Amino acid sequence: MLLGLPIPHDYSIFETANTLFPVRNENGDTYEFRLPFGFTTPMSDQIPFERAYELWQDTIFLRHFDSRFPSNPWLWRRYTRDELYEGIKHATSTHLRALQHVVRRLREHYRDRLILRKAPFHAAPPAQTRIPERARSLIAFEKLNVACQEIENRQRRALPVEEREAHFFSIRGLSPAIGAEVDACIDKIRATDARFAIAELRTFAFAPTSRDARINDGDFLLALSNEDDDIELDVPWRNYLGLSFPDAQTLLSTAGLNDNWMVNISLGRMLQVEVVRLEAMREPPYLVLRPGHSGLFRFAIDQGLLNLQRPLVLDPLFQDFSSERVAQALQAVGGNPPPMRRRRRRD
Amino acid sequence: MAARKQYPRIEPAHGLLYEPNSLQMSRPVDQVDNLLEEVSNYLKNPFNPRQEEAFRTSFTQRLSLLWGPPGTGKTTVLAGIILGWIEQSWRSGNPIIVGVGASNYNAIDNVLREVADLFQRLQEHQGNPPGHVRVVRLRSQSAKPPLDGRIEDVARTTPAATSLASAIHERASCIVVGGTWQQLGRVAQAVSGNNTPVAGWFDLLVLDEASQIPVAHAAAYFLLMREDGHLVLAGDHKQLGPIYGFEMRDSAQGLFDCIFSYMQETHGIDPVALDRNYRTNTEISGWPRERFYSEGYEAFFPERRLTIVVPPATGRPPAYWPANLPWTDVFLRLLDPELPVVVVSYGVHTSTLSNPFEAQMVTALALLYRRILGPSGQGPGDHEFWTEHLGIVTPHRAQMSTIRNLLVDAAGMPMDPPPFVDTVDRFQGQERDLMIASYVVADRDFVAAEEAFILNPRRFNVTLTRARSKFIMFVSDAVLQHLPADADVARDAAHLQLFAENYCTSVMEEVTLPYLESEKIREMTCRLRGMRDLK
Repeated sequence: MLLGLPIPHDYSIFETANTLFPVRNENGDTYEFRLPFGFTTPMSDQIPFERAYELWQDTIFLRHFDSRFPSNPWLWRRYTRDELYEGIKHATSTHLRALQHVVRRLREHYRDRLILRKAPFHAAPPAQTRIPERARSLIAFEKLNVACQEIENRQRRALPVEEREAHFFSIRGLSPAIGAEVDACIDKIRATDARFAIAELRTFAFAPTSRDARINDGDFLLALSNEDDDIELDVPWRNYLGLSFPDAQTLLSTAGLNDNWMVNISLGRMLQVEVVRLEAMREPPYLVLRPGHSGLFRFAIDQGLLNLQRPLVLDPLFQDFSSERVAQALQAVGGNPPPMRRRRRRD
Repeated sequence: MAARKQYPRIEPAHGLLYEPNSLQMSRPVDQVDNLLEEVSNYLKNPFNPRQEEAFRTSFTQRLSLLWGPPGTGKTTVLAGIILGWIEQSWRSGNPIIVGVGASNYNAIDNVLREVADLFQRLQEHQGNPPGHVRVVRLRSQSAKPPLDGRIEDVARTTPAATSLASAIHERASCIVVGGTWQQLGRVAQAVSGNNTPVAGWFDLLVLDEASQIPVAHAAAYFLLMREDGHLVLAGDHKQLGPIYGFEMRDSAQGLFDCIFSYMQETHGIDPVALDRNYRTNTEISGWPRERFYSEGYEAFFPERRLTIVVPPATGRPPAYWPANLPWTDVFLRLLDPELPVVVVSYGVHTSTLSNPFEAQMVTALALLYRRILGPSGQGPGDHEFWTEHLGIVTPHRAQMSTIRNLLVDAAGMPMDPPPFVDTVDRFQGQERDLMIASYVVADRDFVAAEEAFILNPRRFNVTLTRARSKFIMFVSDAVLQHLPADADVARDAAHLQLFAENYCTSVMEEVTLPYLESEKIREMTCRLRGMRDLK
């Protein structure tokens, strides 16, 4: 989702918070997030680092504005050390409150369109506090990496289908393939690899312009969907049919699919396929796919979530295979956590 | 003062990760030289002094680092070390388990293949060895099995994986098992009984391409070692590192880089640096030696050249030359074996992800080289040509596609096997007689947008050092003259930029190269720089 606001230049956090559904009192006056002189940086969200430096050096230059002498700043009173400290604290909390305001308003007004649902991110949740500092850093680093990869994958899938193909992310123009050559190919696969002896295999021809896509034999984090459908693969499939949980459960059971986990899975998972064979150099090029779950895949076709008669596109999905295992490994390695730090009271 | 509470830990994983210096007890093994002598019988070439030192430290130190710049025989040394350990186990009558890890299956297979080669030579020399050795590679269900039939293929989800774990546990015979940290860890977890990825399997763990292994992944490997197990990390932190979603500006002394850098920078472990380069000639290795490997990178084959005879220039294209590929006699000059390093640079224009001019030049040189090696139907086969003789590296997939299409459509090369045109990441660990690099980007703004990627010194180092006899590079002035705003990126960029401008100076000519644009022949004025005969 891309949100535009009537802000002329710079989407600072204060400008954004003051423009995006601002808080109004009974008289209709709006509450504004703002900070006193000396604690803001124009066109930026930074709290001026000079304030921290002044505090650190114990040499304070910042003065309170005095309306009696507007053009004689040297007559203004200097901040005391405590005032400066409180000023920095206030500036930090005002920034955080502005950020919280933006997040809350987005959630209140656009909840149905905010599709990225992730577990809350914790750099060091309680379970990891009893391991060494370096292990915690490594776990946080791994989680950040995974988050970056997931966001990258979603950004790629958000591109128009032509661009996904042009950037070699996706294979497009798929349509069911038939003929002696593909039949022979399937027979060979079944005969040579026991995994596919009785598996459901489907063959598709695809556009020659997709020959160089970064998709290879054995790739299984892929989903098949219709090129012209405006769908989001990360959303639960039942949302597309407007079904409640019990209704979706009932519909699944009519197709003999009775596992509860199937009710809330994403559309991408339902349409997930593995590339069993990719014949990119044939004319026309074709590939052999095995649905990740045959029952769900057929169900998706039956419910109109996938129409094999219209052009299809094969897109990469993302799945985190590593962060949990890394955390598990580093917890198993063990070792002493860092000593508890006592918070020092400020006099 | 009360003693600090000690939390549970698994050794040697904990020691290796947090206090490796406490493990650095020298444990002299009397027979190490004797083992080295025995192993030498089966090597193609005897170890050089640094390689011998690496062999010895794998026995005398719990943790040893082997710094292997390109072509210095790192994989061969690792295989020799593994054979030495197995030889020792035969002598003591106690079978051992050796783990081989890396960040990808190709690197794992390279080590296992070398091990299989050594055992084959051992069997040829002395018939049946004193004990049986299994060489196994564990893989995920979707990964491809090893191509070498001597390496046993085990898929993790099959009963063979459980029986492999049992065999490791029983230790009836020596096993060399390769796998990724995830696959080995999952098998360990399945058989651990307490759902932890911990197993005291490996007497010796060898991690190849350790400069591509993140620290956390290495820690998962450490959990599979026996308490008194030894670890050998082999890598080169001057080559490509691990692939991350984002790069930390401060790697925290290697913690957020790779296990190889972490051991050096955080724990001050000194590696044994292999110093003799068996791959490239003096002219190609001169630049990496100057910029990356100050400890030594001496070319063992200083005069290695392309073994081709370039025909004399006639001003006309050869009879086989296709009509849709422009010709110039300059191509003959570019392929001259006596000019082992060539840089062709040209002015700024608008190419970004693909560059038709460079693609046509690369295609023309590939075709000419193919035909000089042997007329149609003669010389090396297509597979051999692309796996031994020529490699084409380019950073962008669009350019890969453009070059491949031209090789097939314009130069008439077969689609199967497909021409080996790829990114440098896919080339790490490989080598070719001739390497051609197409840097593609000729637009100043685009260079600025991807400066850290395209001017990355590790990437350039790997690109250059894949070549055995000759390296040709096409690059625009937009890349060579770009001055990054970031001081670190600017410093890094110098590795590539100064290579062209300061190193390749023994030949400096202006040449004109023809290319097709909108079906018309145009000419590009280029600067030809080269490095010839450093003797």
